Amino acid sequence: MSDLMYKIHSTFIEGDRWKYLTNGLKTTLIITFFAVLLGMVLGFLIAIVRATHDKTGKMKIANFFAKIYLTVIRGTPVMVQLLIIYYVIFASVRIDKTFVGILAFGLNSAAYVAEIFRSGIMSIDNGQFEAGASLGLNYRKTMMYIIMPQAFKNVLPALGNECIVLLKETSVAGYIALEDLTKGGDIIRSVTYEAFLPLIAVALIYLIIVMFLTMLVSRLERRLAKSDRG
Amino acid sequence: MKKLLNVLTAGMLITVCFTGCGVPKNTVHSSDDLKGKVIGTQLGTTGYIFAGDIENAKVEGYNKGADAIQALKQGKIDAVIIDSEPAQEFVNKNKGLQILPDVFAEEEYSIAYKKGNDELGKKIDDALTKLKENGKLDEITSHWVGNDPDRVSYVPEKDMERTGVLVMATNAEFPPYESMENGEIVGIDVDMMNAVCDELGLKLKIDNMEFDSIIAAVNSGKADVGVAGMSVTPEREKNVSFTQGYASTKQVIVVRED
Amino acid sequence: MIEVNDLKKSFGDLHILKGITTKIEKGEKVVVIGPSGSGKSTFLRCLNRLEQPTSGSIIFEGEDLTKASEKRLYEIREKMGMVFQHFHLFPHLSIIRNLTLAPVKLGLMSQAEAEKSARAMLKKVGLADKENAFPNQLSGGQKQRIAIARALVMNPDVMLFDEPTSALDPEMVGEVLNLMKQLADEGMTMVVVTHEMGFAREVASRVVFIDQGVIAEENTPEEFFTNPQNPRLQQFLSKVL
Repeated sequence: MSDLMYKIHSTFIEGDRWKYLTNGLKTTLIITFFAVLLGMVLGFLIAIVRATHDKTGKMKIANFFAKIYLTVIRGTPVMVQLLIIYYVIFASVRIDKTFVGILAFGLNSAAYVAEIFRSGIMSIDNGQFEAGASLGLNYRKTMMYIIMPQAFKNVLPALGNECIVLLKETSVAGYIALEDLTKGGDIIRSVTYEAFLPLIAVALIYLIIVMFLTMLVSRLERRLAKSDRG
Repeated sequence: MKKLLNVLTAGMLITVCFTGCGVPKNTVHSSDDLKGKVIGTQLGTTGYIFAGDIENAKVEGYNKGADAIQALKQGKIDAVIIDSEPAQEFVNKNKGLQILPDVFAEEEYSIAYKKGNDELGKKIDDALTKLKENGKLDEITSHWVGNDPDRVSYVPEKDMERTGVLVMATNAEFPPYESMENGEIVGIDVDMMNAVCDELGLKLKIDNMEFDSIIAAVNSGKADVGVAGMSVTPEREKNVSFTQGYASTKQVIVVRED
Repeated sequence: MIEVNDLKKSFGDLHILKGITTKIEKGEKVVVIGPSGSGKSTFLRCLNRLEQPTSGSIIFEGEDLTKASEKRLYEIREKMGMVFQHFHLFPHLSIIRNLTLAPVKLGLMSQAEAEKSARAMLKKVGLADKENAFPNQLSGGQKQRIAIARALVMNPDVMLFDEPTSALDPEMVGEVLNLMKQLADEGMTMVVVTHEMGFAREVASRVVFIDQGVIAEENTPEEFFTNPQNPRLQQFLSKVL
């Protein structure tokens, strides 16, 4: 028992090592938050392009590029993308690494969000488009006021899930020496050569955040479901 | 939507532009210049710990020494503090880098084993003592350090009865101590452990993993020893045991050429 | 009001409409009947260009729909109310918002004006108490009456009905047909695709029989039902009556 107390002391308290975890957590949350934001906005735009092409046959060129983007991003691991953005695209530039992380994870997430949104749009009955059109609402207005609100509600669980996946995926940020939560634990391990406590602590922190996010998503779902009773 | 496309194209052009931009000039000429600079190290090396003590310096811990060197070449960081032999290897293989004459700190590499496994520790310790006395360890080291080593410094004895297996955890990205060559893990640590195993009558099995996984592997019993150019610090000795040192090394500063 | 000239529509090699020519006058109530797959629904959907005709012209209030720009097309549709077999109410919006969405978003009315007009329509279709309900809380017949009210709020010149009672349970057909009769009595121009022969006989000013992509026969309901000429119509009527 005193051995464990001693290990806890050396892992977290000595030399203020807990700060590696709290600072790392801060970085992880910042990256996740802005990456989710970037991913949602970009993914939404790509989904609109893709769905518009699917529905109307327009936007051929934009759809072509969107498809290439999706293929490349979904066909390569996020860690490799991160390294490419840091070492190849931003070669020879001193660039804020948090920004690189946000960019890499945001661009990656956008590809998945785009397909989530697209499937949400495609899952809406074509009759809804026709009803909008028959009332004189053009494609853009029908999309905005009739299709997207329904599609968004349908894909909300999948979007929430994507946020959770993204949060966990940021754990590879350490590869570009970004001191995120996982790296914070790694730093403690490298100093103390004690694996158990830092890893468990890091895992617990991720778990708590994920549980919190899951709770938020289900609460939001319930609120949206109110408009669709029966 | 065309606007979006234009923005994307512009973005790509800008990034291409970034790629072409020049690397900043070297600003570090001695260890005193490190103050306030961005210093890259390999996480888990003593370089990382020492760099933390430099005034106002921003320390970045990379997972691999090679990544830190890459960042240095691209001008993302100002200097890399790393063990002297790997530093020499990196400078040999990458143009435009130099090692500063300042020695940052001296240290010894040791073999790590699980706390409480003193029987094994004692055996290895004795074997190391023997290898030091009969000059074999020097022979191995001198083969690997230098400009044109023949890369085979120690051949394990063939006709020998081996009573068990010794699993060695390492990270083969730390030349000349351990690195991959033609699909095999080679280096000072490998040859030394082969020699140790010959002394003990054991068969050597090498497990290649990430550097920061090595101690976890040793402590969880997945590996018997961790041999990866690991230096001893009082902090680490609390959680893992070390044999006597088998090589002394220094931390040096690698910077871009002027 | 609507002039259809040699209207053709094909999906690939499948020729659904093979040249339809007819004229719908203001105030007329045209009921379109025909066997399934005859192209009657496609004909109706071509009238507001939900289906793009392959050739031919549709002149609505002096303007050729087949040549109208996309922007103009949406403006024309404001004047052509449409009621679908499966209602297509907007499930995420309350009933009142279902009715006010289009006029408000199109800038035709303010929210207050639209709500006033919507309430009047809800009263007219007998569902004034449902304004804050959601579509999924309504029965099929109620849904279809709301769908009609939604089209009426736009103040259309003509109403198109695409099998409005086919998806309803039998006991709910009456309430929808009664509402349509009421509309007809008020003088609304209507084109109705339906299988309800009683409705055709009672309400129609003209009945059109579409078979194999062409108008096989059209006449006043009395002549149409008592004295059919076309042998396929005779056969069809003998099955449905």
